[in-house]
Amino acid sequence: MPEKYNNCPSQVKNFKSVINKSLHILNNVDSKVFFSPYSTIPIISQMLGLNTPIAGSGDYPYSITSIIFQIEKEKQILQELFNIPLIEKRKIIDEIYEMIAPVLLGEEDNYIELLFNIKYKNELRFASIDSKNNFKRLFKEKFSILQPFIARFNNKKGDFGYIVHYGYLEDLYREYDFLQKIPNSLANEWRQYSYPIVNEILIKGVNTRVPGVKSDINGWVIFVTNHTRELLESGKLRKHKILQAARLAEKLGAKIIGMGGLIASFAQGGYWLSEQMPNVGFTTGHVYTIGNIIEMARNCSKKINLNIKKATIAIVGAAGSIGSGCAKLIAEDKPKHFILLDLSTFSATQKLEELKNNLQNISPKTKIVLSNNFFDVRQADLVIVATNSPTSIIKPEYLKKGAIIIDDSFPKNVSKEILKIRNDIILLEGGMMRLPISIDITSARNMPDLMDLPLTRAASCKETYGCLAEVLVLALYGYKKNYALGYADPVLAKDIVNRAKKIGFSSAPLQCFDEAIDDKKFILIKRILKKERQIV
Amino acid sequence: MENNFIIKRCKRCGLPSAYPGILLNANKTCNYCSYFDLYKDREIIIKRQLKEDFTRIINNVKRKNNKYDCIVAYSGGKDSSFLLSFLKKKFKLKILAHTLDHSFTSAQAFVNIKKITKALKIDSKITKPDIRVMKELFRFALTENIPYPKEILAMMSQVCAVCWGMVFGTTIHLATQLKIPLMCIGFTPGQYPSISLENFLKVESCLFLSKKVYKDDPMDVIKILTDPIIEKFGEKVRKYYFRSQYIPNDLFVPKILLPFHVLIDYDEKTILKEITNLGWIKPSDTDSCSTNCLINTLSSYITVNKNGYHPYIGELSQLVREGKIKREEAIEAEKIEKESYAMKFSCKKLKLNKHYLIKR
Repeated sequence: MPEKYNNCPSQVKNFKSVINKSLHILNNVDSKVFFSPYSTIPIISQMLGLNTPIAGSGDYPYSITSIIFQIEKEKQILQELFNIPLIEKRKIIDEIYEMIAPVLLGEEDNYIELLFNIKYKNELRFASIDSKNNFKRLFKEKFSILQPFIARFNNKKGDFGYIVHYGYLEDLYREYDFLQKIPNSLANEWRQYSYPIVNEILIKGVNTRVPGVKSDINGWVIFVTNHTRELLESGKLRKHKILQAARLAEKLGAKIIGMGGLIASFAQGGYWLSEQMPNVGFTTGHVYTIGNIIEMARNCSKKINLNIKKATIAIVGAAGSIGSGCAKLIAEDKPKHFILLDLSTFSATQKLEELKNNLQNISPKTKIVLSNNFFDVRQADLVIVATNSPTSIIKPEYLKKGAIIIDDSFPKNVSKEILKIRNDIILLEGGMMRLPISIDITSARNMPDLMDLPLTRAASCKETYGCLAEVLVLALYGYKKNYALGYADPVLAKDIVNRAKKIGFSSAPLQCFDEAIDDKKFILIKRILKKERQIV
Repeated sequence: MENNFIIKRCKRCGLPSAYPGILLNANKTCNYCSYFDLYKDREIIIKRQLKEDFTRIINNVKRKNNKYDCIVAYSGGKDSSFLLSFLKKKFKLKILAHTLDHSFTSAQAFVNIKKITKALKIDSKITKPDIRVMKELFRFALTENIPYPKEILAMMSQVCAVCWGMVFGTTIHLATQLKIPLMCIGFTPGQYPSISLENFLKVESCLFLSKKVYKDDPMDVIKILTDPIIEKFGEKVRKYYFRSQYIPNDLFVPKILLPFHVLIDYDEKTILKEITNLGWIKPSDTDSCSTNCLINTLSSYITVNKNGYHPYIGELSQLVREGKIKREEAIEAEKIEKESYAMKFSCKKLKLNKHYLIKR
């Protein structure tokens, strides 16, 4: 019977054995093979016998077959590692993953407190004072074992970082099973003080003819261990967690840091982060996203014979960076009518007024209406949705027959259910980019597409979100300074789209919930639109 | 790779230098051989333990009052035919043999399916997707670059990847629907890597299926195989595929065993003898790498010309390392009969010209 994974830390002697023996074995390998301590974890996992490298992976730093000639003489030690009980091995891998961030941030004591006061609180409930002190001492010892290992492999060899957060509590709970087993108050507290999850990724073989562009880059996706709603609710929490994640990216060696989900919006368009950390470049991820959304809008309009010049376009979340950026970009197509929607707050209204003036300069003949009533969306042929709302806000009754809806919100603002009721609309997922098809992309750990961040999808379909693609493009161009901060700038959007195209990036196929839109759908919508026009 | 130039190969297993991630040492043997040597001892230990665990699971399943104890993904080929016989005779399981008829199956394979299931008194179910969909899928796999990572293409051709996802998807959907607790697949040790053993230690299933996420989880092969197909063909194919190794909390899934990895010492002669006694006849129209599939020849031909290595060489080289076949036999098995019936049949059915495909 497989042993059950219980909520107890690994034994120090096993932890020590794994780290010291791994260090001994990996001393045979040039440490420059590894980018950071995270690079070594898949190899340690394979040395322990937790995973077998997949055939064909022999040129990845995350596969033991890439370094096998250097370490094959260590058979005896490898066998000793294998003999450690399975559950212990799995716990040790988990612990190493989680302890690297506190070490790099110099916050080992805080991490021990987090374990002591929350994660293992229940297990320590009836322990004597001596045992409790012993618990802390053991973790201090684990840190002292791990520190030289981390120092040895933190080569700061990296191009980019990308900070993102979890979309939903459930995703966080799948990753941290123990959170479901402790009282809510403790789970909430854990999320306040927890450390980021890191996944290192490597992209190889960008076929480039553009001078100065790199063919290989690596970096770190850094997950803030909080979900959208709680970050929206607490300014203090988001500042603490986002800065912590950015500092971690810098410690790992990132030269430019991108922002996913609502991170840019939480970090005042990245300006706040840039002030705190002037030695690293930042980019919001918004400009490539808006460039892509507008490209999608144009492609899709063509497919259904919708003339943008005669169209009504609604932007939901128009006071935001992505919404306003999209409006400015598509205003260049001189649409007939704009409906700009956002909250009725003073600040949002002011921003909408500013946007209206801006758009009027770009397209003087366009009729522009400001609104905070969702029913106004019913007039729109094209709806772009980009808000900070953590739930779906677009209802079936808000949509016109034959409308195109592009949802770029994270979490999604248009639910899948809408398609069951309204098959007379086209719903598109905004901001999906296709990476160059010839590249190899791999990561140090395998994980589901938590919080909708398509990491596995990057491996399977070579597709990812525009915000991640933006920092990848900049890293390939060797960018180290701030690129796009604040509200999405259409000029930068055109610049990044252009740069990206040169190195093989493109828009992903028009899709919705991971499925390409069938040609039949476009034909159906075309027919609906034709009929509607005849009625008019 | 038309054999008109000398290919650099691993001196021991025969893997060619074009194989993904291959490194050769001073002795001209490859990194995959070195890995095999390093790990063969631990594999023996794992297998010993798993043999007990597999048997325990099978016996547990038998004790319950199931209509079917086990579903077997059954192609009609030699390995899955033997697997049916083994599971029936050794464990007396109530088995449902499930076949995906992808429309490019040898007629003899269907005769074999009928004969074997009849002889073993096993229920058989055949899923036959719309032939137009299958043609579209295969044409896509033969003519486009599906963005699969190279680790997938190191194990199989694009056609096999598309088809395997479908075989797995349709079989597991059926098991889920009929609440069949066990699913067996006739992968040989060369066909699926030994990560299946480690998966079993973690989740009691050789193909990793999990409701939770751990930091040592393997690559989500199911999702990687499926995503590009679902994205391209959407609703037309959705029902044939399973989406990810990460499953919802409320979904029943069978435990998946690969008995050839643990319970059976793979020996082709024994296998052929056993199934021949049951009436199985080797199809004369398939190539040396398959005993049921006709599209395999065209698919291998395209892959060799596109990638520079044969899609079965990863599997064959593993059999060489394990001493099941000789290096020369592996290289011999790579030869493709370009004018064979299977090749002409597939090209004609798909309205494709193999020379045109290669020029592309």
